[in-house]
Amino acid sequence: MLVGRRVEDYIPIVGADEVNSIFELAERVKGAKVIHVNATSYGGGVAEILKSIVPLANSIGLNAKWQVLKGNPIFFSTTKKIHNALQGDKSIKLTVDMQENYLKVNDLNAKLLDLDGDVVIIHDPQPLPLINYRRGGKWVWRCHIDTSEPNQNVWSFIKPFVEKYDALVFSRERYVPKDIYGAKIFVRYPSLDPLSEKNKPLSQTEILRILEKFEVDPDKPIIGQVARFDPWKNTLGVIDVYRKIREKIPDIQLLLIGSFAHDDPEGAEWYKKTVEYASNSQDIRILTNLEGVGDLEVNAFQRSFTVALQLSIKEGFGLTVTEALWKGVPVVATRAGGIPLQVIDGITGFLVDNLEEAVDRVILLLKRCWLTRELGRNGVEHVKRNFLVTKDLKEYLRMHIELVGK
Amino acid sequence: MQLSNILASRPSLRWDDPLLLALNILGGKQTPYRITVVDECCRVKGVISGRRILEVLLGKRGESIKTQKGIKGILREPVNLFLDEVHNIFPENVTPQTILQYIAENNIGYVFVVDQNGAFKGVVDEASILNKLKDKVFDIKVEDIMNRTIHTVLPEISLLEASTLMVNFHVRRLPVTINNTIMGIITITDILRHVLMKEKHLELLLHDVEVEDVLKEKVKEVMCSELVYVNPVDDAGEAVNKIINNDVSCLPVIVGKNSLAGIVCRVDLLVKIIKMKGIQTVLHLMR
Repeated sequence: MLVGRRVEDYIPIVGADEVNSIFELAERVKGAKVIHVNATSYGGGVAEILKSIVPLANSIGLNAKWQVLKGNPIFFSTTKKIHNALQGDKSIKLTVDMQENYLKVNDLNAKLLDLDGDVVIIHDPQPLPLINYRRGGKWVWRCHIDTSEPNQNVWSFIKPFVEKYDALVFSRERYVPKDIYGAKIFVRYPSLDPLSEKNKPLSQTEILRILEKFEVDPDKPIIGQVARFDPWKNTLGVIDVYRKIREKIPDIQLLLIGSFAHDDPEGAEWYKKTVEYASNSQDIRILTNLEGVGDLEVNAFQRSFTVALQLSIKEGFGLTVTEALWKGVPVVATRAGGIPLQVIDGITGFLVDNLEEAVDRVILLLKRCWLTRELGRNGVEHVKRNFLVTKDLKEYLRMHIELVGK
Repeated sequence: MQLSNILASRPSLRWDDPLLLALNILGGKQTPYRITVVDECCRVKGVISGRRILEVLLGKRGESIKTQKGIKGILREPVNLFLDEVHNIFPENVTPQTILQYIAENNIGYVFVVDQNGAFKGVVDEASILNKLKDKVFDIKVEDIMNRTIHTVLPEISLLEASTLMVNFHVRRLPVTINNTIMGIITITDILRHVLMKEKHLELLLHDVEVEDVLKEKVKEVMCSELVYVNPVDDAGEAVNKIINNDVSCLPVIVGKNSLAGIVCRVDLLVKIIKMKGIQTVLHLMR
């Protein structure tokens, strides 16, 4: 459900001047119909961002709409393969059947979806071929993944669609594929919505209520990772780290929080692997949306962490890192994707190159509360200065002005 | 080492200043490559770079406004419409060590520093740090840090073609070569300066003329041909000295008789020195 927050609600956090500058930009594109299309309404950073951006855009006079692609299991299995291949998995090959199904599902969706916008923003590879059904307007492909070294076979299948777009948006400059030539390219960081269900302030009572509901002991230290279940997130590595820490700090608990998104068929398989891998360890809780973990619960769990982990092998930006930092929780993380923009080593958390280092850093933070508090405070300020949704909204408005503004 | 030792005051613009003013500064005599944009209370709103302005001139940015108002109109629009939000703002109590680490981790050239009220205090950028690393020896050869993948242009192509290549390849400069022999370098700053300097180009700013007319000259007429360069076997310290002493953002790396072997620019130089020598060593050298 898209909650009707208004831009004015953010004044206490970002100040009136920031909000006024959003209104000034919005004036240039007032009434513009902006359509976002992605592949899932929940799970993952894209749905997270759209939940915030779309209602906010409507609150400042745009006519924004969010539509979700419908697909069958073969389609989502194929698009997950495309996702992994674009992130660099060189072993993946798409069969002709997969390619045909991918195009056919997009063909069917083109008939179901409203694509008549002034600006149509297509998120990630799943709905990419919808560009073939363009009837007008300016079309933008917002790529949220690291496409700096894509699997060339899969990229050569995808690239002709990409080249038809009016503008391309990537999360970091280095993610822009090297053979894209002449396109209008924007680099935009994702952002955190401080008033969303997942990030809004919670009382201690509410946090305790949620921990008790899920039988998590609030009196023992908790570490955790919030991430989808997929090979890139290295959830098994997190369990290894936990086991090592437990040898030194026996009452430690590990929470692994994930969700099953429509567009992620590997999720169930990796969830099963994770559960099996964790089976002989005490005090590991693996919780998902299937057990009733929604945004509010994730919020409470993240606030209960003494230390958050993000040991991903590949990341786009790593919005769950931003979320933990915003809650005053230091993050021990790998250097994947956009994580080093957020985790400043020794200031907002620690960057690690291997699991042994992760163990050492987590133990350090668990033993030194003053350091954990200090890093936590720094993390909140770093996110507030650099990664709040109001910046993202202004970037979207500037892009709309570029394309259809007055 | 205090932050104040590497904090540089660079020009800033207000968010409602016209884009034309940004063009004047970026193409002017003192040549910053980017300008911080602030609000009425001096809080950082974003940054505008030479590349962004070149993109506007070429119609790669501000497409819709340019269609409606022409170049003359678009250059009078507030800079706020074209800036990039910034995500590297640090408080003034940050240490130089943290900034060096952040720059090296993320391969970026600058961070903004603000006071506790969010007011802009200055930037720490590749130039302000390299300035503290002058006259040092790093025991790193230029060939170990230079970029060997280089886009080049011929001296006979037009400025418009060179501009388009720079925008499309996402580079700030292009070595000008004939059969791999370097003849000069053309940069975005050279092109912006060309737009401003020639009196006839005031036409562009006062009346609506096509950008093709303004950028029709050949690269060889505008490029810098008095080259400052390094050799692959030179120490990285030599590259630092030449970049700082000559106020250039990059150096061609030359072998034999002006044969281009690579290029070394400020950000790459700084990031690679930090990564290869370690932050503590670099901080020690900066003292």
